[in-house]
Amino acid sequence: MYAVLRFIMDAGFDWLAEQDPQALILAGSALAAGIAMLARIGTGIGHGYTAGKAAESTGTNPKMVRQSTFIMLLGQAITETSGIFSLVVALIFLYANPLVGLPEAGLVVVASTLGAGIAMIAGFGPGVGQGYAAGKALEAISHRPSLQPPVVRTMLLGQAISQTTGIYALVIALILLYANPLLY
Amino acid sequence: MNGIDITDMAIRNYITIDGQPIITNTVVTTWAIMAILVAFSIFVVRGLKAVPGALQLIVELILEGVHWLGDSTMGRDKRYFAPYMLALALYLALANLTGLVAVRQPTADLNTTFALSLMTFFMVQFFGFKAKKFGYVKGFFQPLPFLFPLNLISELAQPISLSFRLFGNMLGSVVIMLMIYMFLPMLFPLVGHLYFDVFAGLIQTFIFVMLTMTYITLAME
Amino acid sequence: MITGEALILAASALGAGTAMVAGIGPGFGQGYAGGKGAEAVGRQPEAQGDILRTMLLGAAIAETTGIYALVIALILLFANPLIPLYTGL
Repeated sequence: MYAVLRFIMDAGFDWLAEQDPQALILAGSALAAGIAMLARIGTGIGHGYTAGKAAESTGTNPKMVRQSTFIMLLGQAITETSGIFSLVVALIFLYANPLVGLPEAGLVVVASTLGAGIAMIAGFGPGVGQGYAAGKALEAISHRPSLQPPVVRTMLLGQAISQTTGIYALVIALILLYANPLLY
Repeated sequence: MNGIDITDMAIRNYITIDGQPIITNTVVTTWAIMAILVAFSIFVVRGLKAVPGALQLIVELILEGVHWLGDSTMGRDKRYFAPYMLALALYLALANLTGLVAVRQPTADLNTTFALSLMTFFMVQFFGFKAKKFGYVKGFFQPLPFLFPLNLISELAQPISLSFRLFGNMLGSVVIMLMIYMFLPMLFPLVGHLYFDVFAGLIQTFIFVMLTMTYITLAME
Repeated sequence: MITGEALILAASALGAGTAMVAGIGPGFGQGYAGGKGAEAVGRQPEAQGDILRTMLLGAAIAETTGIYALVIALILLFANPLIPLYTGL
């Protein structure tokens, strides 16, 4: 078994070594852009949950449909902020790739692009979490509409705090892209 | 490097002493904001009248808002924090809105955000110790003694998360706005500014001030 | 030829990226806390101060996981202990 694995590894690395480094970097960027967008699953779930709760809250309290819609859009806008970052990183890979012309060892640059892409998957968590927070806030407001200010304030606070780890991932990805300490 | 050159989003160093950047555009923008705030406050205070004019009403509204937020978060007995919170809120609001005038936000620079977070961190420790004396130190060993490292780490995590949250959002805004200007020059910059500079900026300001107040109240309880 | 050091650096970059995937946990956890906090404030508005503080205390503990991931990623990037180990061999 080990011999087979070794053979595959050797063949793989030999093939890799033959490729032109720049092509490898661009291939890595393409993969990374795709991987980065995985985080949007979370944002999608979060938006869906908020929208579902908004519909439910309009059901329980029909006369405040305008309020529910406003809070739903507010909650979804904040959920979107943590999702937008993975779109931005993907677009950076495609249109404004800082790692393309680098003369350094291609393998490190390829790994950096993949690393940045994988890091952005962390946006999955905040996406779902913020959507959940907005949904629960909508539910609470539908039962007691007069309590909108404190509930919305708690929702905003909860959403902002849950976004931090998505921001950590963005910072690490941007470090890997622009201020990569491994290259020099 | 194909496409746009994002490094011009980097911080421009105006004056550097042996390589270490001293006066950067972040510092200059911060000075400008400070000047605006000081001038505005002097102008308003000089114009105070019994019958409040329009401007005075707005300022009183802002003051009432901060007092109301302070009271509901920290309680009436901690009203003496309101001036600091108002100053922090006004600076952060203006700093985050500078993106509208095509100036790089001072908060898109980790130095600014980490400095603000450290201020909060030291305030939390100082007022916590002042309020509970030795009780504050004992607080780290709640509820079980061996939880001390976890409590310590989550205490240290506060300034890190505070500074990275503000820094990451603002840096994200800078990068996104650069890309919007490059690839969608028509209507989108307006929408982009409204969403990222105004909406995200003000929410981050609100969050930073709310968390500062709550952390201090938590420490003093 | 792929030098040993380049391989370690490449792996470090991948490792730093993969470490950040841990952000999923606190992201959802703190969002859940925020949601329940909002619901609780809706049910007991006068207890809002205590709800907020409990929520934030719990969120701060959850934050530590995100901080661990960030610290490991930063170590891998900036203060990589593996390279001197390799060159020391």
